[in-house]
Amino acid sequence: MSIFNIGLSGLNAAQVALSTVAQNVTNVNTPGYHRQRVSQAAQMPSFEGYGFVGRGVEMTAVNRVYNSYLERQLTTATTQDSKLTTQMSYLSQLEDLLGDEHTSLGNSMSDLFKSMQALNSTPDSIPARQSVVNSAQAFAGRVQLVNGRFEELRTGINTQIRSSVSQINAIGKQISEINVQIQSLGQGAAIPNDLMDKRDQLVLDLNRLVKADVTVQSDGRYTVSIGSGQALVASGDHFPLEVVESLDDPQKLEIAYAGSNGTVRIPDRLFEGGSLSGLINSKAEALNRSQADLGRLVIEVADQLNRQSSTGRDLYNQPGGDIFKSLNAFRPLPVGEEIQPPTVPPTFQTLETQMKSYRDAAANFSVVITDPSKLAVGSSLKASLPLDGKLKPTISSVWQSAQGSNGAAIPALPGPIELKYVPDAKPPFTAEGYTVSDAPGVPGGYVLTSDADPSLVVEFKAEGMGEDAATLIISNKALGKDANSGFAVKPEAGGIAAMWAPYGDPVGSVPAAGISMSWDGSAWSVPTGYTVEAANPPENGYRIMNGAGEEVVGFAADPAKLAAGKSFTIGSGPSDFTPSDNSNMLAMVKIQTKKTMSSTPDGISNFNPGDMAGKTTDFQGFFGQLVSFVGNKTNEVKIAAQAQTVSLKETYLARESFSGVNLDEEAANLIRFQQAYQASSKVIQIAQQVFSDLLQMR
Amino acid sequence: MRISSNTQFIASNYSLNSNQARLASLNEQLSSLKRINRPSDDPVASAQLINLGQSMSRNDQMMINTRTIESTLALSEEYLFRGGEVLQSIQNLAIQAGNASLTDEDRSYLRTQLQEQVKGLVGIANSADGQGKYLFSGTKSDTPPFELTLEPTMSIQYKGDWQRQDVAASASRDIAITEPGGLLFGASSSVADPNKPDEFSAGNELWQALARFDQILADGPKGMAKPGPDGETVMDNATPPAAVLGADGKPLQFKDGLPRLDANGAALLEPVLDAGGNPVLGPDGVTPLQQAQTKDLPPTYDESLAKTIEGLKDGHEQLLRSHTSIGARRAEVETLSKTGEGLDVQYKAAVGQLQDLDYVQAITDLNMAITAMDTTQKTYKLVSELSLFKYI
Repeated sequence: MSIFNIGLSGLNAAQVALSTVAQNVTNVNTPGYHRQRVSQAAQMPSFEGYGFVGRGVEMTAVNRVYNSYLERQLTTATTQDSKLTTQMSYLSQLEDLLGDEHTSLGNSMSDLFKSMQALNSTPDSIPARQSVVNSAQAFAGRVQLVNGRFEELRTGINTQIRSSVSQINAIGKQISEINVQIQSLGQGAAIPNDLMDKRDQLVLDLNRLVKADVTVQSDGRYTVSIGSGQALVASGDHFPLEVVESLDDPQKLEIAYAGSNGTVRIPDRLFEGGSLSGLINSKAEALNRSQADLGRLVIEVADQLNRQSSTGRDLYNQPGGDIFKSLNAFRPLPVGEEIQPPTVPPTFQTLETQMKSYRDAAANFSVVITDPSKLAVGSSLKASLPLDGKLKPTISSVWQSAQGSNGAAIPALPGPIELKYVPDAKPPFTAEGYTVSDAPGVPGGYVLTSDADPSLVVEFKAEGMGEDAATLIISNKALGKDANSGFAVKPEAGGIAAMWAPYGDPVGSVPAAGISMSWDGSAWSVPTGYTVEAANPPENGYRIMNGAGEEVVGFAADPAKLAAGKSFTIGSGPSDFTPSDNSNMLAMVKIQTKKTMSSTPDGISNFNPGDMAGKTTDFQGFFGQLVSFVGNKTNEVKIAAQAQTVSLKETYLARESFSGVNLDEEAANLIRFQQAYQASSKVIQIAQQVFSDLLQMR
Repeated sequence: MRISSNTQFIASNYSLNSNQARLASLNEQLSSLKRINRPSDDPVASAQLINLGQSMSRNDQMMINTRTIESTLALSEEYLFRGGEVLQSIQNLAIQAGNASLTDEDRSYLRTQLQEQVKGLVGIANSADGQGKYLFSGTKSDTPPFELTLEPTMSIQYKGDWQRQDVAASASRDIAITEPGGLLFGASSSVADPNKPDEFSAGNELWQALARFDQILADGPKGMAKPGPDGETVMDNATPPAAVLGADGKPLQFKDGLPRLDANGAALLEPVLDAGGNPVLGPDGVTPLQQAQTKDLPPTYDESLAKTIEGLKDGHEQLLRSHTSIGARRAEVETLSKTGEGLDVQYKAAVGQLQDLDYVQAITDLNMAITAMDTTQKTYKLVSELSLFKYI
């Protein structure tokens, strides 16, 4: 009787073992499946007086081969790998955009300055001017193209953030449901292996999206938390995440947690792994910095070129206007500074509002000049010959240089500058109210800086320095191109050395008949209704004022050289229009290599180094820094991702090696348990035979 | 170590992927022939390439600029050379005008000739370039630089300005491609003091000498001051003429051409002054004693002609100096253009060093990668065929 039972228990055990092998074989490719093993033990023997007789085999458990240490390693490797892969996919798009020759901003910026340089050979050529306008438009177009791609990447990231969060919620819900099932199915020590596998696989899937920590409760249920401990799943409950718009910038998405105490925003930095963190990081570390730098670059390009343009004269002999739309209104402050004008309570610049300003600036970058004649190629200043009538020295070009940045006002020339040439002095010029210095690297070039604040900077080149002291006058050109907008004096020779258009506002004009005046040896006599005011010092500058107190014209004369009774007529004359004057454009081209930009701070907590930061590089160099930054970032992530792939492979292999199904092993087990089954069958057969033999003996 | 069935697949899959990535990257390098195809391949070199790109683009433009500068300066030089030729023939005219045997008629022919030559010279000074821009009017290139009037007296005035048009010929050097005509030829033909017509002012000698030359040809020796006839007694212009008494109280004799006769033949005299500055009276107690005027004498034809010749020479020298200065600028541009070409080669070499592919290395790497890929594929196939299930 016991042989039967023993055989039967063996048959049963072999069958269970065979089923488990079959389960292993069929699930060889099931993700998250752990191979299962049957545990069996000899049954409690029965005491028969002479000793204990075995009672067969019994099944103790069906277990999965599971190592929680290996599982945790795999989860960590997966979550890191997923983060880096996501980052890599956005970074490579970003670097292709910035690094590609055909879309590179660097080339189109060089082209703009190249066309400006070409214009210097033929300042009044409309085709050459048109080419500058076209290059400016091409540059603005390229900026819009790049910025448009930035925006697409941003939208793409936002869409992915939303879908990741809904996936996270779906997985969280499933885990909480399995928690409940496991609890209800669990019978003492026995656990439903395949359900556990399914739950562990869900945890792994969840980690692909966001780094999640699992705590196993005593009843076998999982508590899953993310971030700094926000529970996503606790026992049978699931707390979904939400995507909310940032209060400062609706384009920026934040993850919020709907806990029992209402909605709590989870700071971005708390997300450490998974594709969600990859998305957040790509945006925060690379995309934001790239777009902010682009914004800062175009604000400065527009400002610098517009400022120099405003000091020049166009082909209509009118003051130059803006080339690019002014973006100064978008200039943000460094993070943490109070926004002006002050409000109650005070508002401070945040990273988000700063980012928004730069994005708006980049989106608004455009060319406003359409008429190529309006390019301010010429200078608005002119210089007279020495007052003594000698031709030494002469000023071969003179222009105003727009200094400063950040849209600070450019002062206008307040009146004619009286420039004294002092032979053998160093520098050989002086001017009252101005500091004269040598222009670095320009032989014969000098810089006049006014003592006022903001200071006015005039640069000039002088030639033919003679041995005699001389006085020259630098003044504004008379506006306008028509023949009579300038001034003429008759008789031409002798007496009046220079004339200039009135400064200040309002100004009057010279009547068509002209103004007759004479020098009586000590004073000027002018027609009724006009007065002559001496400038300070009086020997060189005079202003003729009309009855309304408006300045009509300024002139310079040296009374010591005038004979008493000498009379002149100041009338309308040829304008000061100089089509071949390119000194303002020469100054504009120099902006290309001028140090106008300061490096971006850390790019994570602040994008604007502020006005006090030293200007360390030119436009192109700044763009190079951006490309290099994106390249470095990509390279860093690429290397980390490669390392992480290897690490993931190794941990995966380690888990496979421990928990994975080996088909050969299973095949061997199949044969082994088949043999056991056959053997147990034989035991029963023999038991039957013994029993039958016993019956036949009767 | 225990091996699971998936171990083989995972490991092979990884090897296949990484081999494929290696092949793709080598393929990209070999098809673009560049080592750096995206910034992350070498972030530092990428930033350097961007800066080099700007330098190369600027240098390209500088080389184009040097050609423009060269051709504009060459044009100016050509016109100045022709101006010099005309000036030389004017100088010949001035030498002819010194011939004592010339009649007034001859001089009027000379004057016609002079006026034609001056028209030619001013025409050259008013030359325009191929685009109709005046070369010598400073930056007022739409205004003819010189205005010439012949009647009633010759007058030449500069209408341009004194500024030059600079063009960058290298990153650090702007070169003036135009020269204001006022500095080449002079600003005005008027002299500072009409009473001293032969006092030319520096820089304006050419025009002043030409205007003076025209004037003296019109006046002729007869219409100008002359030296007094030596040995004769100086007579006053009373009727009848009486001898003028000199400082010694005796009739004054012409000596060494003094006193000089003015254009009307009147002797230029001045009263003799005593130590107190009062005129010394003659024996009649009324008529002051006279002496020859020696200062501020009106010039004679020959004196003016000599000054004119000198003025023309000064003007010619000024033209030659400017000519030389333009030549020097052309030479500098040529050097800068060669420097630019040299820089271009250097920039290209620098770019090459940064981004050029080492072909030999890349092809060797490619062969190794292909071999590795091939081996991986074969191994995978062979190993995956092994299974115990085949035998049961």
